Amino acid sequence: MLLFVLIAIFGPWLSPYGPTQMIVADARQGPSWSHWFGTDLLGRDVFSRIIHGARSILSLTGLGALLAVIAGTTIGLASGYWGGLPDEIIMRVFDSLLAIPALLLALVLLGAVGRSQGSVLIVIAVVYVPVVARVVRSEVLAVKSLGYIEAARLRGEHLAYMLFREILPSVLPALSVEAALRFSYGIFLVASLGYLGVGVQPPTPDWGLMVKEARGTVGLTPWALYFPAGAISLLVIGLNLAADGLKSALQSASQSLSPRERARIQEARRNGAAQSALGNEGPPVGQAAMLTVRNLTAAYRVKGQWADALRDVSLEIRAGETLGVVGESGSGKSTLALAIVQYLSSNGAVRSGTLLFGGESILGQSRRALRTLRRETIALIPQDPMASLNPSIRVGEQIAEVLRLGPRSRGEEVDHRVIELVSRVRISDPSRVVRQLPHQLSGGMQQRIVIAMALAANPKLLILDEPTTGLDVTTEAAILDLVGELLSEKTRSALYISHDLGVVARVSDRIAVLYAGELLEMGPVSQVFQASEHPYTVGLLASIPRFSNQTKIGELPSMAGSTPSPTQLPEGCVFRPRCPMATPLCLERPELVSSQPEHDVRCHHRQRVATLRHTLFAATQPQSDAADQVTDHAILDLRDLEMRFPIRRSLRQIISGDSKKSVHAVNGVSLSIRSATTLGIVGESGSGKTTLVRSILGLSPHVGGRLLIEGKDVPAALAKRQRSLLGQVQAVSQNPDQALNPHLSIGASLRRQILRLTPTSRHKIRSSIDELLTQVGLTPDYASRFPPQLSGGEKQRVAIARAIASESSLLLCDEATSSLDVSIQARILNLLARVQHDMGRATLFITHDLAVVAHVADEIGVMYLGKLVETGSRRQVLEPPYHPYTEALLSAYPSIDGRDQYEAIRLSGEVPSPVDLPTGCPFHSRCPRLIGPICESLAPVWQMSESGHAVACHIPRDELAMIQTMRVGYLGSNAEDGA
Amino acid sequence: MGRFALRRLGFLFLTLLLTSIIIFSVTQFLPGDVARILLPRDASEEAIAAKREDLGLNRSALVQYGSWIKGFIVGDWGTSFAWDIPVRPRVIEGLINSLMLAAVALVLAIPLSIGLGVWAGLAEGRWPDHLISLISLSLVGLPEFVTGVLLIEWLAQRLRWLPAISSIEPGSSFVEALPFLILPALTATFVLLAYLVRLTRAEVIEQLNRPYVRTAVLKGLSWPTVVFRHVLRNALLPTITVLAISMGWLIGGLIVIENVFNYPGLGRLLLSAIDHRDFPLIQAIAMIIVLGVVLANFAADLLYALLNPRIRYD
Repeated sequence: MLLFVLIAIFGPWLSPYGPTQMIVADARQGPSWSHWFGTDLLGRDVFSRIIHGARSILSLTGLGALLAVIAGTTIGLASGYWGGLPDEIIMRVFDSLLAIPALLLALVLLGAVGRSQGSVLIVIAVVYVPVVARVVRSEVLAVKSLGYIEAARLRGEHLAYMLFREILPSVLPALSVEAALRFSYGIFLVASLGYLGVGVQPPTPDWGLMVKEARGTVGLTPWALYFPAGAISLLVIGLNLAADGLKSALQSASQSLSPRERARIQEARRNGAAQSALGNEGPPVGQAAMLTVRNLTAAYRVKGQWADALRDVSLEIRAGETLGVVGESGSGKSTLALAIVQYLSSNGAVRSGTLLFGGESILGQSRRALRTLRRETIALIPQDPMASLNPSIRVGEQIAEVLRLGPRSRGEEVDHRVIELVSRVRISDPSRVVRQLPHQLSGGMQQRIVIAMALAANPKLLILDEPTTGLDVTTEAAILDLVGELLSEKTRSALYISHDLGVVARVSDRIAVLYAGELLEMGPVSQVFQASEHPYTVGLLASIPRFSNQTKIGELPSMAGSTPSPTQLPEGCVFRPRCPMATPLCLERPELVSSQPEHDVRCHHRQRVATLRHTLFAATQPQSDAADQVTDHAILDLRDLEMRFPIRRSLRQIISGDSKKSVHAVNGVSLSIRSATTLGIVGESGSGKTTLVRSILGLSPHVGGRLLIEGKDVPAALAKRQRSLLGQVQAVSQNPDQALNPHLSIGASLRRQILRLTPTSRHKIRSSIDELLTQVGLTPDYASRFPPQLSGGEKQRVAIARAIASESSLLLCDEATSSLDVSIQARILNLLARVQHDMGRATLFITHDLAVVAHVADEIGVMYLGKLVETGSRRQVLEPPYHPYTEALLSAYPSIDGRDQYEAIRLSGEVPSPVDLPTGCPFHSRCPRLIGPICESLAPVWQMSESGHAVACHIPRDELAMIQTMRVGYLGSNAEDGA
Repeated sequence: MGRFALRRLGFLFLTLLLTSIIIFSVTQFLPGDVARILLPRDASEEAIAAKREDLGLNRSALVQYGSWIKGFIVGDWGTSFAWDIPVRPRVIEGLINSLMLAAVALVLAIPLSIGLGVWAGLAEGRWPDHLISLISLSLVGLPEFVTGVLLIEWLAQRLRWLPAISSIEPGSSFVEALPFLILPALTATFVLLAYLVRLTRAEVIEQLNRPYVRTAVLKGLSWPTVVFRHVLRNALLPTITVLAISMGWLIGGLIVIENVFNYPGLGRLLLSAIDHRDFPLIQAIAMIIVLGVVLANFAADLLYALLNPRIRYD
């Protein structure tokens, strides 16, 4: 590529002859020393003409493509950012232009404006503007809703800054690929036009024209044809390679392996298999063991290095037993599952160790034997059921596939078995469901189908890898009931993997704790939870927020640091850098030691861990309720707030006058938050809680009701709010990876926030940034780092720093800790609590996680289908009387303390559509305590207690309290249970 | 489904309306005074004025467009400036010839490129993939006129397997025309191949990495079953859309190819119309080509919706 550009620039000095200089005597000469590429029929030097042609074609296409890129980018940015009608019109016109093939459009244009270099230039620009604009626009749309763009809107950035500083850098990678592609197509187009004789006119040297001229005389001067043709090909191939290179550099994740790496991985797999087979002849395996994993080391080949995701892991699962595996991200828990089913990704291998199933090595099996093993004995139930099902095959057929592989696989029998399996996983209308496609089912139903599929071949071992992650808590509870029931039959063994200790506790007999690829502790559930002997397990348990309706707990005990990556492991014990008990002894790697039978721990100090346990749990000092600092000064006041999204109607609906439908996301929410208090709102997906936050922020302007901040009415749309108001309301969003602009340093992001929202002199900014970073527990040197270099927890700290930079009086947290690991979550929750406490901010904390809300909130609101159904102080909401929905939520929550303590209340059906809202009580269609037609016809009014607890239900408070307290204990004070 | 088709049909007409405006404006107003172009250089001002009146150029732009589009719809496509004959029969004749060529090219290109693309995708990173990717990459770098000229030089001139010039007689049947069609169709195939192979390969690789493939493998299905029942079904769906998009590509290629082979299709006719600045002819050809592209897109949308049960009709 570079060569061509250089030739184009310096060509005239290189070329031995003028491009049109004719030396009649030398005509029709083959390649020689005086004419490297020979001469054409007229005696012109082909080499010189190619060089001059390069100059003409590169400058023409280069300029044309540049014009197209500039114009297209500007239009795409503006159109995509603004959206609405202008965007619609521009894109329609561009779509129409794109319906005209490029060459046709070019020909028609050239036919109209005449043939000259100038018109070719214009033509290229015109032809490619729509393409570039489309690409840029779609990139803008993808970026527009990301957290950092919204953060910029929340500080009221002006348009030019938004487009060119915040959005353009994110669009640039895709744009550069597109520019390279346009350039190469442009070369094609110009050469084709030249060949057709409508582009550059003779005698100007042009590659296409040269091919045309040489064509008639191929027999006499073949070189005059081959050399320019070769020049075009080389240039276009070079450009395409450049575009491909750019593209794959952008998607670095999917780097394909070099043959050498591939061979190395194959060799490692063979070695591992050989070892595993040897293990078979080793010491006899316990009779009852179904699956034996001994000294397993599994690794991924990353950048020419082995990264051991699992090291030296040994465990076994007995017949009929369920082993739970808990671990945070980076613990290697999924690698364990995939190693057992022999489905590590293409760069992964079991490097050493033994994997035995029923005494036979799983590794190194023949393809046929492996298929039999997968079909008949081991089944995997993965996370994300939607992705695990084939989107275009009916679910019944996907189950039937498994059955047809087995014996007795005739048509009717198979159909019959499928229905049987589907009813087995508690799907009420099996014959209808089997005919549906995965996307027509809800997440919970999809996971039931996946479970039915796993059960189809009646496997001896089930591996469940986070099967309920991503599901709502009520759905999760129902799936867990089903899984628990299946496992309690004790007819098959199971490995249950999860990050959620509560979930694992509910279904497992024994628990293994994985950390950074190593097994740190393993034992019966009660042992591991109540008498854990590893500092990591203790720290993990302590950092889980718990219910306590009595008192609010202060800071959660938390572990410093984060999980090390497998390529940068600490010396000795993997947990040493984060361990509060570490001593020099820990520089030596501890062995997994079994003290009492059944309880294995990998720690030098296991005897002393009991003390740590006591100090950690004692540290969870109850904090006095915020009552003492609370004033009646309301920071935020919502009165009957409503938010609806219009649904686009089809042409026919508009014509037939169908009433305008919309999604009722928020349906009349009234609440207020006083200074220095936290209101927690809990709800499942579809409850409208995120829309509520966005309405308060002005990102999704409300359409009804009033929004008051510090007693003053606030305009619904962000654009209409004054800058001082913007500074008062700030937010921390869910996804830390999207919260910060990856192209701006941490310092730059914070600087902008301070500059826009607080009157600060420029020379003091530096110290303000340092101060902010220190406040959120980072060091000032973070200012020069970029977001991709930070961990999730660190990014969330920066996002908090940004939100408090303007000394806001109201902080909105939308699932601010949901995507973080438990141990990181604890520290972010502590930070938020401190930030609030220090500055007396009012906080609105939105989450799906009951324990988190119970931990952070002074007051709690429970939201369902766009409405609040219960509000009150934390204590009031967490103890009876509950709204029936709150009751179901509490009962569904997989707590690590209250195992089997409550009557299981499970909701049936799905959340109704927010388009056609149910009449009466929004919860009536799923309510387990439905009392009669009144629930369906009349919306309940708030029942208030004297102390301010409010429940929106037709059942009288006293009656609710009575039926609910009659059950085996309610969520009592469990704060001491862990100790 | 019905509503979806109606919506698509609406878009189709909107696109046709907008493109016809674009084509008409470009060819009617950009060139300057059409009357002056038509008449000899030394024509008197009166003659020019008379010609303008004759052609209706004094009317407002909107009226001119209106009468043109009305004429186009009812089948009156005007009279050629250059040959002074009705445009329509010439265009239809060229269209039929071009369609024959396109059909042969598609019949060759689609199975071949899908086959090669799937093979390369399944063998990602191994030699078949490298070989196929190398071939498609070199084809990307070869413009139609180079491929065409080289094919003529080797297959026709040197080896004498096929006729070099595709001068089919008017009214000859498809079978009679076939030998003349092979070389140009082969050239067009190469153009499509490069593009389609790469896209098919990428789609297959993408689908292979989806979790549902893992589910299928872990069910214990054999690899061929996984590929044919699970992967290809999802991987080949987008190819339908790609095919529609590549129609524009193919047509651009055909314009060049017809000129390389002197094949009497729309492309050759278009070029000679441009040479003579024969605007009624240019307009008619451009409209027919656009109509073809838009209809192909419409058909692909419907087919995609029929085959893909997951499409949301909104």
